[in-house]
Amino acid sequence: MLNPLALVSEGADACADAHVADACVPDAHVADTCVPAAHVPGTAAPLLELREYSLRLRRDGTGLLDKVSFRLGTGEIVGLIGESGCGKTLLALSLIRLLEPNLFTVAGQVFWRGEDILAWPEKRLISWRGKELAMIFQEPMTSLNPVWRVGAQVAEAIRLHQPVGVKEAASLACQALRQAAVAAPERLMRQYPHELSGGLRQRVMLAIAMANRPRLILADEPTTALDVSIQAQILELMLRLREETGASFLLITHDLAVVAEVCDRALVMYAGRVVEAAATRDLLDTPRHWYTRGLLASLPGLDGEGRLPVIPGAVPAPAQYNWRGCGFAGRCRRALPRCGREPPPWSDVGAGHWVRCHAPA
Amino acid sequence: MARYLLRRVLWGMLTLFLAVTLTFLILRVMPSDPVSVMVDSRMTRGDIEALTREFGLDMPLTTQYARYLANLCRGQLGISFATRQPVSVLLAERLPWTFLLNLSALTLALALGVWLGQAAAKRRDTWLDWLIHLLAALGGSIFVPSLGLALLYLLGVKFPLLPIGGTHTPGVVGLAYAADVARHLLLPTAVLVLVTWPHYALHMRASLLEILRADYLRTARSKGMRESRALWRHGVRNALIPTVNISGLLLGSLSGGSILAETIFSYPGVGRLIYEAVGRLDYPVLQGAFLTLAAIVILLGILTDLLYICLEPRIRLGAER
Repeated sequence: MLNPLALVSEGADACADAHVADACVPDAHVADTCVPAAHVPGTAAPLLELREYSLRLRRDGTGLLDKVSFRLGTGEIVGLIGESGCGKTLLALSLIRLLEPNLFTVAGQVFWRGEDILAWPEKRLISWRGKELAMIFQEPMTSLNPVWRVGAQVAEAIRLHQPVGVKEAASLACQALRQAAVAAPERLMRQYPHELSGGLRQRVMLAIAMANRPRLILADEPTTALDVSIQAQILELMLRLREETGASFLLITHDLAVVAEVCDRALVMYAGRVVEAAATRDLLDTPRHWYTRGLLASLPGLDGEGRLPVIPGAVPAPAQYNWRGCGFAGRCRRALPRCGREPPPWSDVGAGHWVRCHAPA
Repeated sequence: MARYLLRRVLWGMLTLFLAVTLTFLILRVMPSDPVSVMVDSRMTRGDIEALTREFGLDMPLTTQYARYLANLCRGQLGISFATRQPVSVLLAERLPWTFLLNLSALTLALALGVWLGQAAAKRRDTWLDWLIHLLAALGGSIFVPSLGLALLYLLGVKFPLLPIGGTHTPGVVGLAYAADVARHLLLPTAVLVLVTWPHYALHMRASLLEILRADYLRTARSKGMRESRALWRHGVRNALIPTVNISGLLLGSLSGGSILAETIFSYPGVGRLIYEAVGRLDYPVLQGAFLTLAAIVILLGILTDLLYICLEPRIRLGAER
């Protein structure tokens, strides 16, 4: 194993684990969806733990996320991969509780350091959001308010959670920008977002996210809109910030190269479900789910030879997610007759590598 | 920035010149003769001719126009046909009151419109949104004199809570004077506010609805900001830009409205002066008053643009480039 952080010690015993026990009644149906636990050595309790977290549209009950379960430890960088429309961004937005509560219903549990955040009142959420959990968005060009100076926008994040005056907040903001590897933070403080490049804006977003030293940062495709060299700089910055502050990251991406570069573990999502979870090396070297295989096979190589194998078809719209069976069955070349009817159970295929497939590769 | 301002001022002056010319021409093509209004039965034919000559009305139109422009350039607006006072003196008496009335109306309408507009956007498609829409439609379509007369009758006559005309009670001084002026201002301001706020409210609502979906508002929420605070700091603040920008356009209709409001409430501003001068065919006063109103609208339009530049940092750069 390349990454000791990602080792899973308990494997199939996940259901017996103290944390998960109450969610996993020893019943055949429920056991199907039981948690692929990824225990992090050195952390008695995970920072974030989802147990059978489901999300539906309130209006017509359309399922968006189905019994998503995973754990994330302190200092871990976990990748969340899958095509567009699989529910990755939705999962992140719903974790930070930024979805309009009137429009969605949730089920399951989300534990933050052992507390179920779904039970928290709005007041608690406000003091938690941005302080302990921060988020970076995909669109650096539009995520900053065009009419406020950069300094004000960073300082605002600080003043919301720390009892400091205007001047002190400004100097803290300047520090945060410097930490985000901005060359001339004093100058940047006085600039407006439209004067900055995309890479610089994403650094500002990182500075805002890091300003209160959060425990976890949800990074929703932070590098997708940037060109490759800037992408590498931002990823390197994330790794450095983890070193310096011990923050964890949930990195949403569809770029497997990004996962290979920075993630300790990765979760593969398809049609609102997590279908495979493993340490990064393990996942990339020996993918077991046919969807993951397809994703990996469609990566272009540098030699430029041959046609790229693509996964036929496209991710269905949420209303067409097939949760009675395997969501991927419709596009899977190896689908068995039962794949469309029975939801595949989680199975541990060794060394903390979990997969939800009736016939794993 | 300086170049932009210079261009804006030059355009303003051109507009002003056109306004002056149009006013001059429109007055001359009116079918009645100002001298006939001034004539009284004891006057002889010679008196009438002398009067016509005195005001230069016997000269050809082009000469009259040239003399008018030449006088304007020297800063002279002429002498009133009716009162024989310099027009500039008449205007100077009335202008402060018009300013007071219009600025109070514009400020209050902006405040009310922004407030109701953001409330409507925040609770879109609820009863509150519908109510605000209904009130806005009513306010936007009501005729100033009807509303003015109704209020005048209700609050000035039926329940005499407020004065029915004038700007202040003579002889009152100090703080009581300020309160007295405010009391006199209340009704005409209310009428103008009621017909002006819907423009601001609908603009604010539309802009804010767009911003509610903006990524930067999501960023603000993700920082851990209360929804209401995020909405004011990052929503309303941004929506103010297009909202304030319509002030320039609204000023035109507002000054039209203020002629009507001043007339109904006998508020001695420039609007009332125009109303009186029309009755007497007092060309110099009408010309001077329209010139002044046009100048004010143009000037405030430029000020609105400057305000827009202050609110919108992206423009500042564009102008400097």
